[in-house]
Amino acid sequence: MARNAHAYALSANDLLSGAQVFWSTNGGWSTSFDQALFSQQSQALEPLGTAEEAANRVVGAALIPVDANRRPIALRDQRRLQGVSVAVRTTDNERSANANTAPALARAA
Amino acid sequence: MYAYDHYDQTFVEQRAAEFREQIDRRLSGALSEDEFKPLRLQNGLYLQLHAYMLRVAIPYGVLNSKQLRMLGNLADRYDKGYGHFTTRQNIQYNWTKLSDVADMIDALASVQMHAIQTSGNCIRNVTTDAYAGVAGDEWLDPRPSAELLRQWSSLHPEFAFLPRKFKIAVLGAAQDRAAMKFHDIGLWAKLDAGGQPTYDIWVGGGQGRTPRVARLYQEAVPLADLLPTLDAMLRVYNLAGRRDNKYKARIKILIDEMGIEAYREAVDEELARIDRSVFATAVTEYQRIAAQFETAQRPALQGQAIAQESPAFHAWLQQNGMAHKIDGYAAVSISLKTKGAIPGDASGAQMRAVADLAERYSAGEIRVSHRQNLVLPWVKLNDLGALYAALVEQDLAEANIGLASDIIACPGLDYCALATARSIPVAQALSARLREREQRDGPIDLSLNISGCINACGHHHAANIGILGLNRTESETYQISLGGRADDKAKVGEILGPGFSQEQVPDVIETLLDTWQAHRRDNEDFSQTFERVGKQPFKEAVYA
Amino acid sequence: MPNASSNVAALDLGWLLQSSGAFSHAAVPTLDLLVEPEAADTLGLNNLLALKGVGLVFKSPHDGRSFSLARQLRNAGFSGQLVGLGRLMPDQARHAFQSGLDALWLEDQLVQRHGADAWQNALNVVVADLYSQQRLPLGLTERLALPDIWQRRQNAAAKTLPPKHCL
Ligand code: SF4
Repeated sequence: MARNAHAYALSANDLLSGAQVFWSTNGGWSTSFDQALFSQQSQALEPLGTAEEAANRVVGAALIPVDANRRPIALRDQRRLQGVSVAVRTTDNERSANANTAPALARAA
Repeated sequence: MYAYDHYDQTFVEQRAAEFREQIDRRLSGALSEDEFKPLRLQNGLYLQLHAYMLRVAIPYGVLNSKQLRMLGNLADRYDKGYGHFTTRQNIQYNWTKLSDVADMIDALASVQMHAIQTSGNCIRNVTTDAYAGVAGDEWLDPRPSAELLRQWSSLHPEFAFLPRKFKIAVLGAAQDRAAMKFHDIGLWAKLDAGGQPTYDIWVGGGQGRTPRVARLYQEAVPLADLLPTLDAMLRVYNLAGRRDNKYKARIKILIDEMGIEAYREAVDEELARIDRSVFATAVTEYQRIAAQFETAQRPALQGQAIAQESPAFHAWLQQNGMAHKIDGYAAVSISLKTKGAIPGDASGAQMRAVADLAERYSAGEIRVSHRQNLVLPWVKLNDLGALYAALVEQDLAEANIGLASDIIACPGLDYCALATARSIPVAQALSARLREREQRDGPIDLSLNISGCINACGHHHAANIGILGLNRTESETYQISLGGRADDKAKVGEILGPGFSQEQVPDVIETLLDTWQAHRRDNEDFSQTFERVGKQPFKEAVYA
Repeated sequence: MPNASSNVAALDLGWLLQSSGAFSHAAVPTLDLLVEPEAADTLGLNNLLALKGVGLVFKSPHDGRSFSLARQLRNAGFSGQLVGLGRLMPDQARHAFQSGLDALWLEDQLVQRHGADAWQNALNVVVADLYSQQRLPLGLTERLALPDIWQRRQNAAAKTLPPKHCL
C-alpha cells in the first residue's frame, strides 16, 4: 500500500447512480467524505469492499490512503474529492426543476 | 442523408430492449460486474470518477435538427445541462445514472440514434470528414461507405470481444479532415476509371502510449472486396493480437511485432478461405445507401452574391466558412471554443438553438467535426448575414475555426477515471489567453491539443503543439510536444523536455508562439518552420 | 481424448445449449479434442479438419478468440461438431452460433447464476438479426428461418420493383 499512509478510507461508486461513496462510521455508504470511516489497517477495509461489490451495491471499491490530516495522498483521490473544476448544477432538485421545464421526451414504443 | 427503414429501426429498438434487460440482470446480480462491463461498454456506458458516462454515436458526424434537439433535451433531463462533443463524432453525457440509461437509449432510438459500439473492445463508431458531401475537394462522398461499415460492424458476431478497441475512419477527399492515419484502419475512398468506388486501406495508426502513423496496406481495393478484406484483417487481429497487456493490444503493436509482410500473408490466407457469397448483397446495399445521400444533395443556386456586411462578418466567414461543392452555398462551422469555454461542451439550450438555425438556414442538417465543433453544411450565400446575426445573439459566432484557440481537449481528471491530470482548466486558461492574442495580433494558424493522460483522446500527439497532463509525484505536470500533425502528412510530435505546472502553461505556450514568429519565414505554417529549424530554438526559449 | 487443455474436461455433467434451441442437462458431448485459443496455432488448422467433434475453450467473458477460431474452422471446411465451453455468458450465445458453433456446454453453476431462463432465451430475446450473415450452422438456419437483413431488404425490394441491373 501507499507509503506514508497514515490511514485508509474505503471508496466506491454506487452501482445505481455511479456517484462516489465512502464507507461511513454508520456502517453503510455515504456520499460525504466527512462521514468516512478511517482505519489504520488496510486489511480491515479491503474484504468489506469485496463483499459490498459481491452484494451488487457498489462497483470499483478501492482504498483511499490519507495523511495524518485525513487528506488523500494520491492526486487522483484529491481531485476526485474536490469534484469537477467547472461550475455545474449540483443537486438533484436543480436537476428535476430543469427537467420540468425541458421539453417532453418522446418515448419509443 | 440516410434514414432508417423498418429493418434498421427494428434492429436499434431490439438492441435497446436487450440492454434494458441486461441492466436488470446486472441489478439482480445475475450478471457480475466483470461480465456486465463488456456489455455496457458495447452500449456506450462507462463508469467515471463521479458518475456513469453515456457516449452516443453520431454516425459519420451527421445530425438532423430533430436529433440535435433530442441531444439537447437529454442534456437537460439526464445530465447537468450539458453534453460534450468528442474527437470521434460522439457526444458524451458525464452525469448519467445507471437507472436512467435504458430510458435515454429508448429516447435516442425514437430519433434513429443509438450508443451501439461507441466504447468497448469492438469496432467503434466509424468516423469521417465533417464536410462530407459538401467539400469542394471531394471526389467521393464517404458517408455511404461509412454507413455500410456501420451495418456490417454492428453486432458482428466475431468482433465484439477483440483484444482492444478498433477505430475505422473513411475519407473521400484530397485533404484529410478526419485524422485518418491515426486510426486502426483508415480507408481513403477514390473512384476508379469506371466511376466505381475503390479504397486505399491504411492500417495500424493510433495514438496512446505508442503513437503510430498508419501504413499503406493495399491500394485500390474494389468495393466488392472491401468487406471480405476487412473481415480477414480483423480475424487475424482477433486471433493474434496481444491480450496480456492492454497497452500492447492494439493492431499497431501486432503489426510492429509480426511485421506488415507476415500480417499481409496471414490475411491473404484467411481471405482465400472466406466464403464471398456472404457478402454478395453488399454492393447493392451500398448503392441503396448512396442513392439516399444523393437525393439529399441540393441543386446549385444562381446569382447569390454576399451583400455588404460588417468587417466582423467577413472575418467570421473567412475563418469559419468553407468553399462548397455546389454553387450558391457555404458550409459554416460553429465554434464550441469561445473564449474560456470547455472545448466541445454545448448546453441543452445551445443545441436546441443550433437545431432551430439548421432548420432555418441549413436544410435541417448539422455536422459534428473531429475538432469538437459543429458545422451547418447547407447555408445559402444570401442567408449568411442573417445566420451570422443569429449566431452572435447566441454567443456562437467565435471566428476561430482551425486557430490556436480552437483547442481540442479531452475531459481529463475532471471526469475520466483513467486520467493522470486535469485538462479542462488548462484548456480554459489557454483559450482565454490565446483568443485575446488572436484578437490583438491576428489569427494564429496552428493546432493545439490537450490530453489528460497518455491514452491521447485529446490527440496531443497529432498537434502542432501538444500538451499531455501527467502525474509526477502526486502533482500535475504538463509535458509539451511540437510538430505533430493529423492531415495527409500525418506525424507524431516530438517531446520538448521536462513538463510545466498548470500555472506556467499559458506563458510557456506564448513563448513558443513568439519563437515561431521570430523564426517564421513568409507564410510558413508551424510544421514547415519546425521542420526547418528543429526543436532547439524552442527549447532554448522555454527553458532559458 | 487428446487434450490441449486441462481443467474443463474434468467435468462431465452440465447443460447443453444447441443452436436449434434445445437445452438439456447432459454430459459433455463426445469430443476428439479440446482447443484453448493459445494452442490453436501450434495444433495447426489443417490437423483439425478431419475431426468429428472439437471443443473450443472460452477463457474469460472478454476473450472472443474462440469466435474467430470457429469461423476460421468453418471457412476451412470443418464439418464436424463445434462445441463452446468455459467462461461464457448468455449474451454471447448468439455470437457463438453466428460464428459457426453448434452448441455450448455450460457448467451447472454458470446456468444457476445466470438463470436457466436467460440461457434458454438467449436466442429468442436478443437481437438475432445481422445485416450480413456468416454461414450459419444448420440448427440456427432452421430456427431463424430468415436470411440476413440485407438479403431480406433486397428480396422485399425485388418484389415491389421491376428487376434492376446491378453494376
Ligand atoms: S486522454 Fe486519458 S484522460 Fe483524456 S479522456 Fe482519454 S483516457 Fe481520459
